[in-house]
Amino acid sequence: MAYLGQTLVILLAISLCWGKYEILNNQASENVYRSDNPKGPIVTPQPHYLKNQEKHVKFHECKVKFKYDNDMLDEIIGVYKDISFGKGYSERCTEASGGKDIQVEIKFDSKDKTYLPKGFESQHEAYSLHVDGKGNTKIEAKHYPGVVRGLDSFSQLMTRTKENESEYMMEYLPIEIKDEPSYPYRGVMLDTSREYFFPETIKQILDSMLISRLNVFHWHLMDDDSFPLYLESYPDMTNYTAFSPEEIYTPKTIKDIVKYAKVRGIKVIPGINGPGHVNILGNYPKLSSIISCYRKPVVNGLAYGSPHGGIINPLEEDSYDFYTNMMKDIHASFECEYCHNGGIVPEFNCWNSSQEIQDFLHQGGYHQNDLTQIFFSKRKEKAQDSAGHQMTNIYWYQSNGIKYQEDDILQYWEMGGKIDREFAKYPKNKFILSTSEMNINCGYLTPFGQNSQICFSPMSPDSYVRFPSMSQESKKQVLGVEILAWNQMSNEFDLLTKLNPHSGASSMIFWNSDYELKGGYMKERLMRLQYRLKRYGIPTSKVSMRYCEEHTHHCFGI
Amino acid sequence: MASLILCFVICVFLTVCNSQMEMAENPANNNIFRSDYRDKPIIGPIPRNITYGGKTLEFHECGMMYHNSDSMLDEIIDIYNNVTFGKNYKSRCQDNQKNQIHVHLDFKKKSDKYVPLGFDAEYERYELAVDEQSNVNITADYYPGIVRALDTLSQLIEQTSDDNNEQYDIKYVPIKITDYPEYPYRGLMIDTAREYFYPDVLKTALDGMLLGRTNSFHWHFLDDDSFGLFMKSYPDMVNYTAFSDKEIYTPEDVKEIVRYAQVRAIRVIPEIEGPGHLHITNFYPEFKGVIGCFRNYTDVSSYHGGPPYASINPADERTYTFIRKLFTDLKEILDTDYIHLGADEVSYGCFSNLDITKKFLKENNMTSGDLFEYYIKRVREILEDVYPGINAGYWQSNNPVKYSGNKTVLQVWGGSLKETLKGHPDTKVIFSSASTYYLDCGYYNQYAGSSWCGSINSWKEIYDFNLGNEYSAEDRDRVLGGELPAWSEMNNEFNLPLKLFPRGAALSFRLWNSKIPKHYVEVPEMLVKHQYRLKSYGIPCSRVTQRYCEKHLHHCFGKEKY
Repeated sequence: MAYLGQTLVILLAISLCWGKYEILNNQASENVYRSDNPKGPIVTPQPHYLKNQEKHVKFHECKVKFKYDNDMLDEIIGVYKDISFGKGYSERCTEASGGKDIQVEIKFDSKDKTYLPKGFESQHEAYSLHVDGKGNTKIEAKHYPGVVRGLDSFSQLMTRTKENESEYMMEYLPIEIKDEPSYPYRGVMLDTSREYFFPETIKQILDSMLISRLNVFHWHLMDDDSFPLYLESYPDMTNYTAFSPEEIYTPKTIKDIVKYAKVRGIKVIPGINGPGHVNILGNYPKLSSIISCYRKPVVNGLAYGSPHGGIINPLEEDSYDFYTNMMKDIHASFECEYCHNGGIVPEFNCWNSSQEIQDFLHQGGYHQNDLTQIFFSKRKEKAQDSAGHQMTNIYWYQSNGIKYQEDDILQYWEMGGKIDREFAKYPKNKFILSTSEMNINCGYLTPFGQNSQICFSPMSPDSYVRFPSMSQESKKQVLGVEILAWNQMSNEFDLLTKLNPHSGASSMIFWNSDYELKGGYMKERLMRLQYRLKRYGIPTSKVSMRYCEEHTHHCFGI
Repeated sequence: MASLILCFVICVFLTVCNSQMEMAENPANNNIFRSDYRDKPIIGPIPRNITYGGKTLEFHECGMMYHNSDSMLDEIIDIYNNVTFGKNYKSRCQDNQKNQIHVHLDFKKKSDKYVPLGFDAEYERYELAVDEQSNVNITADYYPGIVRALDTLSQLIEQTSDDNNEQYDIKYVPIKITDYPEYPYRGLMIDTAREYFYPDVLKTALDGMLLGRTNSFHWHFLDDDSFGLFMKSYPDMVNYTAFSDKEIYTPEDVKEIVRYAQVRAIRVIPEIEGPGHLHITNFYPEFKGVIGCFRNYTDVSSYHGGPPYASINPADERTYTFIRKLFTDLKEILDTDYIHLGADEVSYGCFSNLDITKKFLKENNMTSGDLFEYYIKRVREILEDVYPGINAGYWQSNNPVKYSGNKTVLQVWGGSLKETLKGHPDTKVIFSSASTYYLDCGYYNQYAGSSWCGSINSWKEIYDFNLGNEYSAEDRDRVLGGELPAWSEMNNEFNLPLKLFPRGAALSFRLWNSKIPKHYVEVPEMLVKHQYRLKSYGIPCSRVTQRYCEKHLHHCFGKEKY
């Protein structure tokens, strides 16, 4: 008994010592996450192939030297120096300091200087990474996005030591990584119609996407509430359709953002709407003829989250002229390869209230769905094909018998349960998954101060580390995932905290869908992401409470 | 026919002009809220008594001339100039030549304290009158009354147009307001133990409280997870109890925060939690073993929101030594009329098996349950010794302890308010029901599970809740008001203000004036206005409604009766 008591005292003493040590070297005050149960190198998403041994090396932050012969890489290497060592790296590291260099050699031969290759293919992001026992590193990639992902993995191998804030270490050397994503499309959609976001906020989102390894920015520009895109063809339009004269995206802004995204390995896909959700166009006198039911709520209360319900009149020739002109302008500033064309079926009540449309349907023996189809085909023919804009179209998927073309990409945004059934209707099409739980606003309040009907409460980041259940057949149709930010109830203060670390959680599973993440090891990765974002100045939500950040495996098991 | 066409052209022209006007007058781009339907001043909270006319006074922002004989008011006047006209008012308006509005401040100064001691609605009473000769007359007996009057005045003043942002006006003159709150206590609690917040974050929160007319900041700085307060009596304690050596509140920090609050007419209520939720104290070598179950958890779910969780031992005299020193140290840095003593969620398991406890119970012929009662009594005696005559608060949820005395405040977070009033006949109460007032409800918890207390308590639920229904008329004077607690397991510096605002204002607007407006749209209207005031003063805030509805409140919320 006395012996037992003695053991207890010793144990207590040990835990006290630990307590003190832990607290004085707290990770949050320096924005560095440290595992309470380290077990090999942690790279998130988990690389498809990773082999390591047990050596480690310490070095001064300024001793990391990059060697490459393509000036395309200057910018992204600068970005990753700040992500790895904290902002202001180049100001801190002006002169040489003691110790041995860590050589980072990047092998990348791009003859055509293309940042983003055409299409969505996993091999575009493929890279290999080798770190030898002394920390000298070699990153190899065929395409630019592969270099970016290689740099990202490399940046995660270096951690600040506890003793010295400019000293870093790499553990578990040598390390060998070969990697490419399971799914080539990992996106975020931002709705800038329900709320305008200034370019600085959008760039912050793009930064967080880089760190979260997301590669598609779907920019939802047009909806009922505002249309802030400046179009050369209608130079006075934003006077009527933007929230204010300050809240406009000019071609210069667009080009700047598209370039910013490109450097970060992110493709920008502009999103427009039609025939539904275009009420705002009715504000513009020159377009008033193409909008039916302008400012008339077509259902009681809100029509799909918008308090008004103007939609396109597909019988009006001017409708197609508008889309032709708009596509020309969009193409000029976005240089887009893909276009998101909306496609959510409008409230038929609106068309039903027009005698002209009623007569047309009656005479042709058409259903309202056919009218949507006619609109899609005619818009594509006039605004894209005749105008010479070759692009792939993406539509919000509607389970109502619309005939899509085989190369159309369909975005599945309904509940997860019936994926197999719906995918089987279009066996040749590729799908992007955006099930209703993948909307970052799900669970927050409605514009009327009520609780959400669809999600009971805001979703935890954990719930994004999940692949929707579906058959192996359906999986073959999946192009990837897209996290949705509909912004009825977001603003510049909370948007980033809703997106982060949730959207990064989704890319963990869609980059490597074979790697099972659970318990403390999943939380550890989410927290590491949270700290990486915060350290780079990006607002983020917490994964757990502060105590569990420091005792992750204690709180969540092994 | 020609005239018809002409008419049509004119109509189109008018529409064009109109929509352009609308765009130019958009509220968000310059952080000014303008309602789409105006027939009276929009003031949150709605003043208890107001009459108004139809004249408009226009003036230049630098035309504010204060007639003030008391330098105690200088600071709050500067603050409200920045609130009303945008930050850096002083540097823009150095020479005050264009005097057009005369603000006469008649401050009776019945107390020379910023926040007079005790709970009294009279402290915030003010009268405000704007006449057609550009005089604003403000009268108040106490400092908080002056602050509230300046707040109301700042809401009466609006930018005339967006083209000239130096021109302002006051509409609906003459205006006469007599105003005072229905409930003297309108609080927000911030938990700085589950997460540390730097003093700047707390100051931002205090600014938000000022604009939301919250008058009490309950500072929950001691809990299981950390204790970041530097104590003179135990100068090395924070080495063991703070999250890190940077995450500490020094005596200077506390003094500064308390002063910052008081200038804004906000009382600071420190909370000394205990005997439950004191796991952190065991990290300090001097208190080693006061807790018997240190870091010994098996089942996460059974530990009151922990791990970590532990109760301190009421049978160990070191407990009281610690608490006495804590009160003594606090007294040097914090002048307050109300200290919260915690006393929620006590588990006996952590100390009942310790030898010292067994011996104590035997000697005093007590049960474990009696020990809790004993702790409450001892701590209260020490408090009375150090801070004579002070109000003491306790968390209350069907607690077995029999509390008494009119200096005792029970903060009811569970169970019924009526029963609490009945069971503790001479105490005061503050309402903080988890099901309506907890700010963490509805968000996912630290284990990624759903919240223990249901869905998010929205601004609407908080505003719509009628505290008056929770007690009977004879207990009216015992009900001090309400408080929204922000437990910080899942809060950080990014989302804390978003959780506090605008819900803090929804509570205090209703508790200031419980009479609900005839048209419900006036509720989101005053909250959206509050949201814009916060934003223009640099305080992050959640949305009340969507952008479209901010601009078309009457379209979205109708003119329906409440």
